[in-house]
Amino acid sequence: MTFKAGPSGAFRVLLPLVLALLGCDRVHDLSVPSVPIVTFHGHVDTTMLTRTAPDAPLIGALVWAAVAAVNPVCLPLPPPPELAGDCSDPYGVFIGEIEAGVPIDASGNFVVTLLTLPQVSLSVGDQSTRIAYGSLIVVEDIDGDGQPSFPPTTLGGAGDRLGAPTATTTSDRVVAASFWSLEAPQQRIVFREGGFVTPSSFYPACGWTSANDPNVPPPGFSVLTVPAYDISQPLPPPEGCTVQAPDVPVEVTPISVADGLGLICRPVQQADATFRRLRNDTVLAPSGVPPWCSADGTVMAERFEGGRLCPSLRSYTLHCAFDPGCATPGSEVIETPPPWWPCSP
Amino acid sequence: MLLLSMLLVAASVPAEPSMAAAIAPPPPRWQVALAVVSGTPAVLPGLAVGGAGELSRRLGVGPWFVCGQLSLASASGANESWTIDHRQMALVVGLGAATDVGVGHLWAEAGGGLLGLEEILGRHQLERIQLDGIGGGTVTSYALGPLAFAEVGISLALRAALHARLSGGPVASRLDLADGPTWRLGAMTKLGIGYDF
Repeated sequence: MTFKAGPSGAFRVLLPLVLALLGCDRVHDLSVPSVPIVTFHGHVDTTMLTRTAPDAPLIGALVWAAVAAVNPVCLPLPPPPELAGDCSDPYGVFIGEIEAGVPIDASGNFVVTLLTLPQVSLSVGDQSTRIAYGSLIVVEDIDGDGQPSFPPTTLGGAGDRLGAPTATTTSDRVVAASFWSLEAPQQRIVFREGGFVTPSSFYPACGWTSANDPNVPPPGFSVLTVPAYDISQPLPPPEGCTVQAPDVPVEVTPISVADGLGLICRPVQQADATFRRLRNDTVLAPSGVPPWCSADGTVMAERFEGGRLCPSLRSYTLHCAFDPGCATPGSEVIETPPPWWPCSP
Repeated sequence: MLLLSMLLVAASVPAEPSMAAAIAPPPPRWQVALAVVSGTPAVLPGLAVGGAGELSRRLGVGPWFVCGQLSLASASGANESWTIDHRQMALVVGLGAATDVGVGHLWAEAGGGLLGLEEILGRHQLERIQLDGIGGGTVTSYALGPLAFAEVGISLALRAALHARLSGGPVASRLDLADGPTWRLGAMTKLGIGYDF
């Protein structure tokens, strides 16, 4: 505890008494209520939704986007044709944090209030300049818990002896989103901290070259509107984007079943976005799908598809540089594969 | 335990011989004391810690004295949305009686006064919020209410007019919270030094 000395300290001590004598204040105990940091207003045209569970109530929510990561066997793009259905779209939004769900009224309106800032891990940049992007989504609350419930990103098991990813057909489904792909029209929720870094590969939006360019999101919360663009082409010019205050109504766009599945499955696929460690006692999960092998037999991927909501991959390599547990560091390829290795050159 | 130890030390050391007392100047009438304080916060759970100053004056040659105290203490808590910092200030007057015990004094006093409280609600991750100019990062409020206390203590002569003091006792206060008035009955302890003059 520190109490300042001198006139300012005395003022600080006497001010509470004077103000309290006037009866103008009340203090709180631990039950002091929460006050939102910011409020977002979403709207969805419910008649345009592609419903997978028409009886399920609709809820709205805000999700914050995580750094994209795809399984290494899916790179470079495009992925091997046999794995195309198992690889996540690197230009899609990877959900990293789900804020609490809210009900949607009969007109399709909903209000999302934030009580906390997005996780620091989802605010990307350097030490003093970071930005987080979010999306307002509409979810079919299939399990009826009032909250968005998506497949878990932990696949069960321990260490490298994992079982197959669990079946998650009871997951809620996303039927509308304001930001779900870089290649679709976007209305992003933005939280900027500090300065502004250009260019950035974290969900690139507009062709900003400096913080003084038009339509750069200001510090704090805002809503950024970005036109659809082809990621292989130059970014839209700054003039093509629009920045608005966070209280502007955000139109949440109905999306296809496939796009909705992509949103909820990318975090599952992201959880296996690195080569797994090679161990002699690794047991391949009985997925029912033959493992995929590269042409030279040094890379393999377990595929988990049939009957599961989210197809996913678990990959291994004999290339020592990519194996975090390589027993013979410095060698290019492990000469003696483990006994369970199913691929041959 | 510390109070009991001080009491035993004070009682085990005899006072000056009576002849010396006969030629000694009259005992000082004033005493100033400083102490660190810990006790029950006025509103929050847990512990409030701070400091206190006291000025007392003996009344005549008897055991009675009057005193005034100013104490400042802080307490903190948090819920899922806020960190809650309370800075409380008590300004009280009291009446007490003291008696010599060996090289120490034993006293008891009681009184009342005003309790002022400054509340600072701060959001979690406050620095992130303030850096980006988001309003409402902190909210400051004030409250004022009555306070009553009782206290027993012991002091032990250290050297000349300087002595160590230990005291404690119950405290009752009332403050207006946002959801209505609240009474709080608690306790406080003080450990410090005093100077007679």
